[in-house]
Amino acid sequence: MPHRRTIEVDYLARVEGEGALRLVIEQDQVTEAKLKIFEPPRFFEAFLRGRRYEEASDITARICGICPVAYQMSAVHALESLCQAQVPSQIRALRRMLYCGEWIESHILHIYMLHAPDFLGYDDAISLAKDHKDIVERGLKLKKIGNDIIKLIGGREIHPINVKLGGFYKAPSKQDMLALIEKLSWARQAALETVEWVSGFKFLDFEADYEFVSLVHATEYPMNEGDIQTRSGLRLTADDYEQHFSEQHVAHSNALQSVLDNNTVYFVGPMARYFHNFSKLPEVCQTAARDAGLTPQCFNPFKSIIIRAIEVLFAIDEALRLAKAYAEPDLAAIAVPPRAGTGRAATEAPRGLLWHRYDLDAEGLITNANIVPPTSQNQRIIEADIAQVAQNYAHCDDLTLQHQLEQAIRNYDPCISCATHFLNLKVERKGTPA
Amino acid sequence: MSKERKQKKPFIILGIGNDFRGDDGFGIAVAKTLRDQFQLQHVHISRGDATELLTYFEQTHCLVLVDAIYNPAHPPGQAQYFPLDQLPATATQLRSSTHLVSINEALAFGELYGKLPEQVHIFGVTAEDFAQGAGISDKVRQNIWPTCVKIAALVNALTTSTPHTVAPSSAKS
Repeated sequence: MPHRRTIEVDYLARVEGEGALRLVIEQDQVTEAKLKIFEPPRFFEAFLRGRRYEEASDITARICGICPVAYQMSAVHALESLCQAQVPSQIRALRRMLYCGEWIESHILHIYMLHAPDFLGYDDAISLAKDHKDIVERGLKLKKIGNDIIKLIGGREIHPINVKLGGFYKAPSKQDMLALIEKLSWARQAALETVEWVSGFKFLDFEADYEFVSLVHATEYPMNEGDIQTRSGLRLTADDYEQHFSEQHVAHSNALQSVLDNNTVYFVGPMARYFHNFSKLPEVCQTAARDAGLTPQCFNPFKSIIIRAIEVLFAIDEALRLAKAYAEPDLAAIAVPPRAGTGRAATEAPRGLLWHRYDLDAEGLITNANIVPPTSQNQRIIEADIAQVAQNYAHCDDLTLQHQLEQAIRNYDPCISCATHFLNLKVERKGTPA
Repeated sequence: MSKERKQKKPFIILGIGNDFRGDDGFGIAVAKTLRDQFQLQHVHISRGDATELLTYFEQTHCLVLVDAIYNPAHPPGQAQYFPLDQLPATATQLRSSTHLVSINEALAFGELYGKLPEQVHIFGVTAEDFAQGAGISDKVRQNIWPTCVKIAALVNALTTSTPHTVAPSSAKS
């Protein structure tokens, strides 16, 4: 191998733009690993200024086509916190079920379409489907059920339109909710099969000592509510987030990078949720995890696909419980009069902790907004993983190395995960061959 | 003929895109124009999710898709039309979001699972800018009305034995 290898993986500009990787290996030692991610929320923060607080959930939903519910939920919870509005239990349950729908469709898309092909040696999901038709069809049916939940409660499969401050514009009928039960019953079995399927993949022997950060809740696997918990023992509310988490500019990326106290790099997402909340998973999920070879603590990011499958099972089981218990609320939404001040909230997007902050004036106009998405928070840990994986594979040819790095990036299901399909690898060899 | 086949719509028009992302709003703008000014039936708007597309595949004999296209090889504002058998192989060309499965991939799934309609027509325009919050660029906007005219003519040919003109109800925007 040459003395110094520089690997630059350039982005191909797409709708959501940039994902680029620069790796420098000198004498089989990784000396540089830098990841650049496009960050759509920065535009939306500026766009929200001067808009009415009622518009925040509709505007922020446009940030992402795969997790709009997460943005809507963080927005309404932050503003309701400021305005001291507490939704009744029936609306709370509907919001939780809506989030279940998003976890299902987002995780299933990732598992079947984006990540499983890596493990099974296929270029894409189409190639996978040609050889494993029934398996991929199962994934498509599961994803559709997630979309059906979102459509029923959110009004539309993508960029839901039924969410508002205080609840919903319209609550689903009991009849429409009951119609989901049969689909969810099928989906529960299909989710168990998904866990079994992915648990049979071959996983890289890789672990790291992660600082996991997620919501925790007294009684449930958290989605919309809870305190923020770190593995090192810090527990705080969303209101205290800025006192411990900060965003930094880095020269190599347009996106801000997040760190915890003392410049600590941290890790949000399904693995963090699983670490902090395993005991809150229902028995069917805990058993499925054990049967898949997992313990309550998992430090191998390549096994995140199993944990996502466990969360799909959880979301389906939870949605089934909520659908069976559903009673049409007396009111689809409560009033939320505006208050001047600052509201903050954190909810668990499929990819991890999503924190919002809004400053309002007395008329209800947004004067400032700050949105910290999970992918931004994970940038530093992704770089650390890439550096370590590259170190382990430094002796390999560039094509093998690139494959492993793309797979490592996809462990985090970041917003650039699709962009990594289109990364062109340019190898610049410097120095004399060893 | 099966009951299911009898109940299929003669055509469905899907305008695909994201109206918050510059020229990615093209498909949606065409759909709205067809619905509001040409008053065509069976016009829908989609964000391009694969499972949503597969649902539409099963509901019709003829699917018309409208979307902005990313293709640096073509100048912005260039109108493009593909019948299904001439769709470029590049899976990345027609994709409404980096998260969602592309239209090519959705069509490939449809073919694999035997869900494709008898006819699929894809109308597009090469986009200039997908910037967030920006409106549709002038070069792309100029294609909205001509695309609507072409689609209306196609629908007319599909649905009538005696040709007559499907005319918009008001002057073009």
